[in-house]
Amino acid sequence: MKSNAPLWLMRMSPEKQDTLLKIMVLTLGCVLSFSTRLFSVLRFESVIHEFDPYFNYRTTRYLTEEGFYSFHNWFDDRAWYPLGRIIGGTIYPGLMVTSAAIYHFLRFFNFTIHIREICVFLAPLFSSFTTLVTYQLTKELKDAGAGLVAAAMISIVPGYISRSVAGSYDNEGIAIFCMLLTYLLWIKSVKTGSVFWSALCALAYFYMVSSWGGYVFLINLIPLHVLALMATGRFSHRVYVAYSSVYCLGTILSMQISFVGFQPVQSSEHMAAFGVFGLCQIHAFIDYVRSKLSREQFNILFKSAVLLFGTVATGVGAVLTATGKISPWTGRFYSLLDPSYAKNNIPIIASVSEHQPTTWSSFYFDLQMLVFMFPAGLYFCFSRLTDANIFIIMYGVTSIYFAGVMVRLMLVLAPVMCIIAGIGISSTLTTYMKNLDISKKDKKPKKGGDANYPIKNEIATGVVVLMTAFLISYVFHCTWVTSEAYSSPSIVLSARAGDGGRIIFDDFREAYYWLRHNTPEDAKVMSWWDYGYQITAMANRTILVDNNTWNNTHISRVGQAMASTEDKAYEIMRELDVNYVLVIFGGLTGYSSDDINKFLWMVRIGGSTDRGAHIKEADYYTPQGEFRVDKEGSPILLNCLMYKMCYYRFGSVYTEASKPTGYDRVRNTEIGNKDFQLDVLEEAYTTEHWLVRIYKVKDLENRGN
Amino acid sequence: MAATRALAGFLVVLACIFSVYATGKKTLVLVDNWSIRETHSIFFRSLRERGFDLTFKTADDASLALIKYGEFLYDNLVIFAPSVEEFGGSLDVTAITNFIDGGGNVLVAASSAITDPIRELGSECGVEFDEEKTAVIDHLNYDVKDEGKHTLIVTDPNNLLESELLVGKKTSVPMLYRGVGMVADVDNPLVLNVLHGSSTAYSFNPDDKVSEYPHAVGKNTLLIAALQARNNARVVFVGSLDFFSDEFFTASVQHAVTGQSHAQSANQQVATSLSQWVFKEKGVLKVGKVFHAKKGEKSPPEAYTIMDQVTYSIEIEEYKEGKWVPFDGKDVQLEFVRIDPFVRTFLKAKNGKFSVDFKLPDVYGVYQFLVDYNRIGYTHLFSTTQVSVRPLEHTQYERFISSANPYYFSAFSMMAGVFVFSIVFLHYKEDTKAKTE
Repeated sequence: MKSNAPLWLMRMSPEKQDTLLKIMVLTLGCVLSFSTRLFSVLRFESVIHEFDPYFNYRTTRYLTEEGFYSFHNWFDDRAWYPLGRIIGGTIYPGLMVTSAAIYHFLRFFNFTIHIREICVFLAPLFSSFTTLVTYQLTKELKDAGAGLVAAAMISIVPGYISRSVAGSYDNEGIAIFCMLLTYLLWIKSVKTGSVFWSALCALAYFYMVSSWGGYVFLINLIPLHVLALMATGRFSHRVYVAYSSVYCLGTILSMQISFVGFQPVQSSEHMAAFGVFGLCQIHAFIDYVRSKLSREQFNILFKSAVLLFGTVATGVGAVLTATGKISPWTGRFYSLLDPSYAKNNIPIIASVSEHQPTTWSSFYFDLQMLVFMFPAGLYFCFSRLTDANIFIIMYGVTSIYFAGVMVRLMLVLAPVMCIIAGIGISSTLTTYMKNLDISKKDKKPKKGGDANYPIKNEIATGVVVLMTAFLISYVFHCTWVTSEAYSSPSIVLSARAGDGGRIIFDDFREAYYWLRHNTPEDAKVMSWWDYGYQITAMANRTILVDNNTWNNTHISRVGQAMASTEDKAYEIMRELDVNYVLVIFGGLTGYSSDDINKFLWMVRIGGSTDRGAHIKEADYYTPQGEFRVDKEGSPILLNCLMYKMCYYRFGSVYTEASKPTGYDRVRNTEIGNKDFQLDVLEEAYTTEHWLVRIYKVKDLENRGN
Repeated sequence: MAATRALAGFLVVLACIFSVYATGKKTLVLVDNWSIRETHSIFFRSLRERGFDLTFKTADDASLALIKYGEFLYDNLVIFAPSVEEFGGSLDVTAITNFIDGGGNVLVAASSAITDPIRELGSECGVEFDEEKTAVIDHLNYDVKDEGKHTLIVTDPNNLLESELLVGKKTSVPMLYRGVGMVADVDNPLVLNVLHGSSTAYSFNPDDKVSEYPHAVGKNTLLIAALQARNNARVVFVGSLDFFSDEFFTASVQHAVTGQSHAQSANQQVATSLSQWVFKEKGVLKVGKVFHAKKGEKSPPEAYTIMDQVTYSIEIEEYKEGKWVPFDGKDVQLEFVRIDPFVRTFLKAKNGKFSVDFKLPDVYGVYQFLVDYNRIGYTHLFSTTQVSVRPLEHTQYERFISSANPYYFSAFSMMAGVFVFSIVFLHYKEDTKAKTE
């Protein structure tokens, strides 16, 4: 290396070389993290992915066009017909404001770029920033070397890429950056005990609150850290100043987000932070009193005070909970603690696939070598405990638990995995690199190695080679996962044809554009909630329910319509002024996440309210308890609206060679009810591959029958 | 040539405009045989006098057509052909129902010689005719001129629908009726029972023994049924062709059982009134301008805010004696609906303009101003206007609330306290230091 280095590099001082190397590594990390997320843009086009991002895109566009105040007061009458939705008060605006700020910034310099491009590329951009922040954070925890390793790791870790590929324009994309930034500033303020850093930390926290509901994790983790510091006797004035300022400022700032409102002082999720704040004051006060009193006096005082305050606090807490001032534990939080809670109690939470518990394989899939480097890193953290290290240990341990409960929280785990594994790898390499005797050619017979460490050099070489192999395989794994699993926009599907070519299914957009151009401006479209955001954003039509699942009864009503017979469904549809019904059907193409496969959730959610009490899940199974759409299937299933809409005219279609007509390629059966007519609906449009089918709701009969 | 063609074109345009305003005067009359023109001349004359343009055709005429080049040739259809086996030309039951669905009005008179096409048409419109050769029989209410079968029925005027629009002014004179009975389809909410038999009436073949349960019994036996379709097309079924005949119009009535007699039957009055209704000379309403705005403003806002005071007005006109005049209903209601009505209030009429001021509910959402005026005899008036009602904007809340005064006080006193404390603290800094050390 040295012999090949050009002259100008030689001329630099070692410090400068060091800095240059760091900058180069970081720059490469940033570029890498940006470019590895571009698979889908290159393969398909610059398009927004999935469901939620379409809503975010739509709101961002509104924000850039109408300005912040109309955005803040936006009442959306296109969604949740006829209830409407107050958008300004029910979203975390950080993401939209960030994009709009970038948009206006670029416009100021006359870069006239479409807002969609900013939305598409925002997540990759912020993952570059995350790389930088990770470096800083790890540097604070350990050293620059570990920082570089962690930065390089996080730039391609699949667990994070899954939520931040280009086009995946979602809160998580920037939230991870905000979270790590807050942690960095928190550690800074704990280390320095300065109000300046604490205020910055509170600002970063504010940004985090404004961008993602996951801030709750953060506001519980920081108090937990403080608590751990107290328990280990590390509580100091620095921690006191840092926490008091961060908590006060952060709480006041977070209450400015209208979606959060008074939650920080009312809901139980924030009570830990509040309690620790109080504890800090007491702890500081006790320290002060202790310095003034003798030991015996102090002991008596301490015991009586603890007893008194304990009783009073329990009493007050009980009264507040009883009067409803402290909101009871919300469902989403319960499902964190008890994975089976949501499944048993709240179908709407359980129905979201990303709320399911994580499987072991997906840990390896998303983190690969980090899984087993993590304990190593933890060991190195424990071996030299500092205030900061305690923090990262707490973060790692809690997030591993949460990631095990819910798939989507893998995202929170990925950064800490990178950081701790980075520390682990870096420490290992540092240890063994030292043992590498690079100058052995020159002075081979120096001493013949240590007596009690016989083949030091060989072991060191072995470890380094092994580690290198791990790192290389990590890179290959990450790239493969990104390319295969996380870069499909899900709005455009692709499949391999028999001859090896690629078939593109662009049916979703085809259907949405059909709606946009062929239906009246104020037409109301009923569909299952998954497609709500896409329909409003792309078809610009009013929808009944969407991915913001805030009103269970309304969703339940739609579920009831889908699960009922035509007559019953017609009553519901007329009540809700539905003009068109849209279903996703995969039976012709083999697209498995279609409405029939989601149908049991509709039944469950539909039956979960009073008005849907007549809908029972068991009715939709065969007597043997199976869910089947063939002749054996339950007659109630074979005659419900959803079945009829999906399989209308399907009974006469050949889908696969050597199979009868009406052969469903997802369920791999011949459907049971082939020959039927629709009474209250008429087919309005079916896309090229039958992925999306749109039906028009008929008017009442003119002559009354 | 060109000039005449232009003129002809102009006339066609004019005719079109004219025909739009002179709502529906072109009428096709289908008869079984030409003699009906003579036997029912009073009825037809009264139609002509009221400006109807009658075209007579036999029901099996091969040139029959209701529609040409996608346009209806007639506005109204009279079917006085109970015994037609099959309609001629392109006419069939489907063509007639399409005519109704396209807004055409139909008057059907049947008799005991009723055939399948008419029965089919009836069942398409929610009316089930009894079979061929049956008749409505009433052994307690028949006319003295009856020939022993008790099928010439004297109908009780109390059995008439109480609606001046359909059957004219309330009368005490009975009507004569001889023909087939009907029953209404119970599932059809649109069928109106205009005239039904008395409790002693039933429908059966008068020459047969009553061996099975009759098709219609007692008050369920409909003699005249009307249907106003959802597109406001009107259809009237009368089971008796003789009901419209000159003979019945001019006949005197003498009840064979009670002996009560009247110099002239009420047939002419009821028939005229029915024809006025079915051909939309009466009871036709239309909605003019619908206006809504915040109280005192000239144009509607993009979205209302909850608890706004709003003004809503709707202009309703009635077609009376060939002119559109302001409607003066007292019972027109406005509903403000979001799935369920949140506000339901009467509208005050003033010169055909119905208006009301009310306060919006304290619930945001997408609402509809809904006027759903559905009265017997009148066209179904249905007007919805969708508006959104938004919650308060962030600037519309009160800035300072008196109940928060303790908090304001505590905040400011805290600030003042810290200020005073810092002065004191700074001032005595040296002293305290000296003390502690």
